[in-house]
Amino acid sequence: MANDEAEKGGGEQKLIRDLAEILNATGLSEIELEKSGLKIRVAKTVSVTTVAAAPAYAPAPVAAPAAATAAAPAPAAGADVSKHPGAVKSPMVGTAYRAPEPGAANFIEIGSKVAQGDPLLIIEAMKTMNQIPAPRAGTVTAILFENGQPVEYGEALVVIE
Amino acid sequence: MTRAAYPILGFAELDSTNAEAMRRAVAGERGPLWIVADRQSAGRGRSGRTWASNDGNLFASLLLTLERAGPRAYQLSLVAGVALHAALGQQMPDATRPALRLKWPNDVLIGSAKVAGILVESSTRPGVPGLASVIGVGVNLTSHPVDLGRAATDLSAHGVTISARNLLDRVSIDLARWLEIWDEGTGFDAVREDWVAHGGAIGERLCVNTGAGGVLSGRYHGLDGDGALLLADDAGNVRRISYGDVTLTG
Repeated sequence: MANDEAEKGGGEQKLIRDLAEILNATGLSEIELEKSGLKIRVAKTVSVTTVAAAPAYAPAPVAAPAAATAAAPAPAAGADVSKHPGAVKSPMVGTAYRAPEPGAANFIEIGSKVAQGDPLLIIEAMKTMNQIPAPRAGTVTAILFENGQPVEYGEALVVIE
Repeated sequence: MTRAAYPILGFAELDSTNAEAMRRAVAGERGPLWIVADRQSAGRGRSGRTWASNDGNLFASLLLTLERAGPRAYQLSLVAGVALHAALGQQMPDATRPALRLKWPNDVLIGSAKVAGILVESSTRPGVPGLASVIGVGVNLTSHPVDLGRAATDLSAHGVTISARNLLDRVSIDLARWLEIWDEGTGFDAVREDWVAHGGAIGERLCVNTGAGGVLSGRYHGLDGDGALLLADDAGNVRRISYGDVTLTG
């Protein structure tokens, strides 16, 4: 067992945990840290501070996959898959969804074969639902966002090879 | 002010006017083109909710291609809201017109009951410049759903009688006017101002359901420069909301 590596991995985990704690303590929605070749971003969706009385109408079906409410590290470390030539980038700021509606099947999974124009995800911005289609045919090799996660303009979302 | 309205393609029945518009967009149609149906068999709202599609109500979708809006395309949501508010305001008698208002981002209410809704969808198209956008509009004219668990109403309940087709002409004129003012983003301040003028009183109590069980409550604090909802909690902290379902609770 490579002790060094295990230790390094443990260090990264601790760093991510620490950042997540800062995130929660400060009420920030996102922290990005870059340090000696390592880049870590922790982000969360709009946090829930109060569980008020249930809204007076039926909410959307609850079968939605667990959204990234807890701090979830974005896979931005290492070889930086986001710079991959096959990366599909976000054309806008918004909230990314993997399925057309809560409870429905995801558009894609890792390993999915897609044709040009096939829908990959939806980004919601101010209730505008923006479908992001595959710019080319290929196989999905990485999905770089969690369902319900806020995404930035130009952020890599999916890699198609 | 009137201007040439956009062309209209009418159907007796469709699954959803938004779905038909998007199919045509994907097939290369650039618009502007209205798709209207007398009936919808699968009318849709946000998050896959159904939109009750009773005969006599208006279901229509405008397909258009945005050339320059880029990341500001989401502003279409508020552009559509102010345009629909203007179109419906023309129909209301003076006595009830003040009760017509917007709820973020683009529901149109009479008092606290929803009379019209908007669903904006868009898609890039591989190899085709611009963003295909579809503005779906549903207006309760002669009837409204009663079993939603939230308040709804229709125009006839307020003494307004207008056919779906005549109202569409009115909506088309107002939407064309507001799209021109918006100018794919450069005129957004005017859109935002008009929205705020009709969006309810500062300090109004709101709940925002952000999905995944998250409910935020607070007071309406206006819109920020991008059109996001500002919600102030009791401690005075202001939070920026860019998605979620808003309920009036005051």
